[in-house]
Amino acid sequence: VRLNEDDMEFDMIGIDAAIANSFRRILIAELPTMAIEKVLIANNTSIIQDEVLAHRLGLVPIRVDPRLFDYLSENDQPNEKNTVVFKLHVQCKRGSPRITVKSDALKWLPNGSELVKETRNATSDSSSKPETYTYFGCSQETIPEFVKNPIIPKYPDIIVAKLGPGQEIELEAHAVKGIGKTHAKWSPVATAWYRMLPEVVLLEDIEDDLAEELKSKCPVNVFDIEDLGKGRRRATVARPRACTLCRECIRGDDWEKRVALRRVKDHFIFTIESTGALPPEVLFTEAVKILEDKCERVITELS
Amino acid sequence: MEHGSFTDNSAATFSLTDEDHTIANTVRFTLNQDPRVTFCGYSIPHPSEARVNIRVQTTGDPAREVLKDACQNLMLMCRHVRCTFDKAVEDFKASNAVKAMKIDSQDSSGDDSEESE
Repeated sequence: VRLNEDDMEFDMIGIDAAIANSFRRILIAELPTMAIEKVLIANNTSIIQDEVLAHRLGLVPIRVDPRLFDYLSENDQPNEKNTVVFKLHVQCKRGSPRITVKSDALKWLPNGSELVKETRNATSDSSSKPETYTYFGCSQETIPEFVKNPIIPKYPDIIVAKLGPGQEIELEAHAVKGIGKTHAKWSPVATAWYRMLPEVVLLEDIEDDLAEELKSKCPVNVFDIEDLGKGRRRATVARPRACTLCRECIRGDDWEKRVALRRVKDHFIFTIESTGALPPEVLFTEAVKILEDKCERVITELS
Repeated sequence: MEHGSFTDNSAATFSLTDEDHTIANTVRFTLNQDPRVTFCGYSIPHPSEARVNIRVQTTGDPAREVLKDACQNLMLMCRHVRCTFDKAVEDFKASNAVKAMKIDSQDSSGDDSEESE
């Protein structure tokens, strides 16, 4: 029915509530995304506390396809296949007015971390380059998908912090892949919901004045008047989809006998709003794939 | 994920770890559609622990097979949903590209994905 870059609405007919709910749950909680997880703070003299700043950075949605990356577990080293590194360095000079740090200040570092790890080796000068917090084998810029689309936050105008004169923030943020179950920052949808199609049934023929009354009652104009000829008019249900089930049409004395409001049991109207990492139709396809994978896991465990 | 069964093969309780309502309710629904099943249900022993118990009682067939068939039916359903959805999205995009020429934007035909059970 509706498909934009960021949200989509479509109908599913013939499916059951259990499966529709599974899709909704998977869309919210089990589709992987990339979000900032580790924030290495070199300097923070602003009034925003370190942990608050790190929390805010984690919630910023990043425009990158999570399918290109692997998960990073405890024992792995962060390399170009599982981490995306951003840098934020903002300074407000003395004498200049306050600045607002927006999310477009996050710069992508395709070559990995630039912060140097302190090593206590005796042979500290034998390595040709200093050891950093990530071990990128090759620059991420060489991966073909990133050549034309650099990795940036999806919305450049998210306010992350505010600085007064003389304050500075310098940090490096590592983004990894995760799912919504562990933390809501990894949820790829702003939200996803479904409703069932309302069904409005006229139990008796409603004519003339009653028809006019019915039509004027409904706030979203579900009903229409059609002419039967001979000057009689009848009410019909024109737009059941728009009905919000406000029950205004059955308020009053006898209306309950004439109008029945129900829901069609197997017609679902899904709405998916994506935060931007993936377009919504891809999100839904991935969700279906994940349900299939879960089934397959159960099957292989059984046999 | 283990299963616990009794001497009689047609009734069993399967205990799956790392699962929740998402898959349990769906599997229970597909099991209900199977005519060989007399009783099926699922329970979550404790919400803090990600474990699901699925109980299946059949009319003679081993419960394991019935559960496996139900999961395979579910996979087929998912594939069907995916195909229908992809096709519907393509049709919608094609019809929208045509409509972009015109000024008015109406509801195009709903993207339906139908299933037969």
